[in-house]
Amino acid sequence: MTRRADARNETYPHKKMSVSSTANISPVHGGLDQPVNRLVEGVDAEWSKLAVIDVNEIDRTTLYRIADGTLSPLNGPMTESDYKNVLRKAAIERNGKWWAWGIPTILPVSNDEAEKCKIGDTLALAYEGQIFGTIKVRSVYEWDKANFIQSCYGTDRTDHPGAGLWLGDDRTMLVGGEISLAPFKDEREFAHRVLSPLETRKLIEEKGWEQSIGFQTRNPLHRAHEYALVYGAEVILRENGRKTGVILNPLVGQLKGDDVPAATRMKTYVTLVEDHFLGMGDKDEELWKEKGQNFDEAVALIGLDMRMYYGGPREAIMHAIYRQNCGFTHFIIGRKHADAPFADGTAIWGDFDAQEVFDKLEGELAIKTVNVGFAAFFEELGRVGLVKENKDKTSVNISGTKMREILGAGELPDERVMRPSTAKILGEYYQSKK
Amino acid sequence: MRESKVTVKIPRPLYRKVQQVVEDSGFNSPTDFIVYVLRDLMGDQEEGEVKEYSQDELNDVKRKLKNLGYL
Repeated sequence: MTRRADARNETYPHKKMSVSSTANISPVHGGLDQPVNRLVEGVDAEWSKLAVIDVNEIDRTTLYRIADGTLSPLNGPMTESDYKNVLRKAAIERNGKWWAWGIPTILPVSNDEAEKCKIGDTLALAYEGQIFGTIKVRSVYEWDKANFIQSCYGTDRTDHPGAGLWLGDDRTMLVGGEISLAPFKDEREFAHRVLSPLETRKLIEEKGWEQSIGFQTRNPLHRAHEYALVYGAEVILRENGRKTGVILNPLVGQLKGDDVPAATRMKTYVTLVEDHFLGMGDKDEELWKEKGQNFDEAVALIGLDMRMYYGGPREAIMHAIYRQNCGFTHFIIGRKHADAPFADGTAIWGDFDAQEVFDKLEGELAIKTVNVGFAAFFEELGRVGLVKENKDKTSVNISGTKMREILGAGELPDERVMRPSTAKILGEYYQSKK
Repeated sequence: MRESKVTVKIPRPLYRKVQQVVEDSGFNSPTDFIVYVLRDLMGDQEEGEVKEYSQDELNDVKRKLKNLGYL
């Protein structure tokens, strides 16, 4: 299940960070010793004298992930050379080595703004009129969106959510350089659960986790979804018995309009974790007992404030990089990871493309991927299991459309499919939308 | 100790063009500009500036994790 694990570790012998007697934290991507930190103490009065680039909310989120090290080793939006390398071979070069990178990290600007950007100059970055940082310009270049979409999504077609993100943006120029940002004041109700790489690395150190596995989600969890995290954690625990951290790590940045908002999703995740519903009835109790570990104590809910690209395999690489920079040693890749189909419902990628892309990387990546397939509740098992291991058994399923109907009517769906705690919160959300 | 530098020859007309570009920019000299552009082309970005965290900041991190019930 864990692939390329040994080969990847061999490339990082000097970077393996054992900060306590037991904790094992993944090296920072790009060969750095620590996550990048481009945060300064606050807004400098001098910034108001600079020419200004206005960014949108998604740009700002991305810039802050650069600043807090989630996108290490970048210290700003990509220059043209990095951009081209990512499109060409899904990698960036640092110090003579290639490092995996799935989707260019860019800062689009208007033509007027591009004209103000002279190489070597520093410009202010503003959101809704408020200056929050600066960029020292190193590169100004044209944004060939057709090439960008073809390279990142593997298709010339543009009738899919990923292409819509870029084609809906009027800006056609890109600026690369080094940023410095004032701290971000996150006022969302779940902000305290959003942790930076510095914080997640400290958590791993304090917990003494010898391995840690992250699970990406942008959706409320059905019981079969949550099983992917349980199963992935049990795969690595079964392999070596090491003290294991189990991290439910949802994206809470900008999503498609029809995705359930982060605030609602976070409420569902909090009840799953704090009331210990996660994995209840489905986890391998014997295994955890045999290894002397407590699943509930091993679980942490950590929000990751990043946007979605709806980019399938290429985005899966990015999701793995974020988690490596957070210090996790393992990351779960499901079937159809980060998938969003064409407008006619047909698939852009194969079911396993996002898993297989990690076997073809042209750049290094230290985090190990754990592949997990589709799961469902099986009547004969009396719990959730993997579909591929239970083909002869009877699965309990509810379609997405039917589920929304049930929740919208204020009813509770079959708890073999969705836990009542999650269903109640989602029901309130769907009813409030009526 | 810093590594020594080497001299690279470029055509004089190109050098004059570089001088013109540098005049309107924040670069101190044509050499600074050329090194900058070459580094960019080579993908040789400077590593991210890594700020050392103060004890207070590290204590804040610990407090946050404690408040979440993780420590």
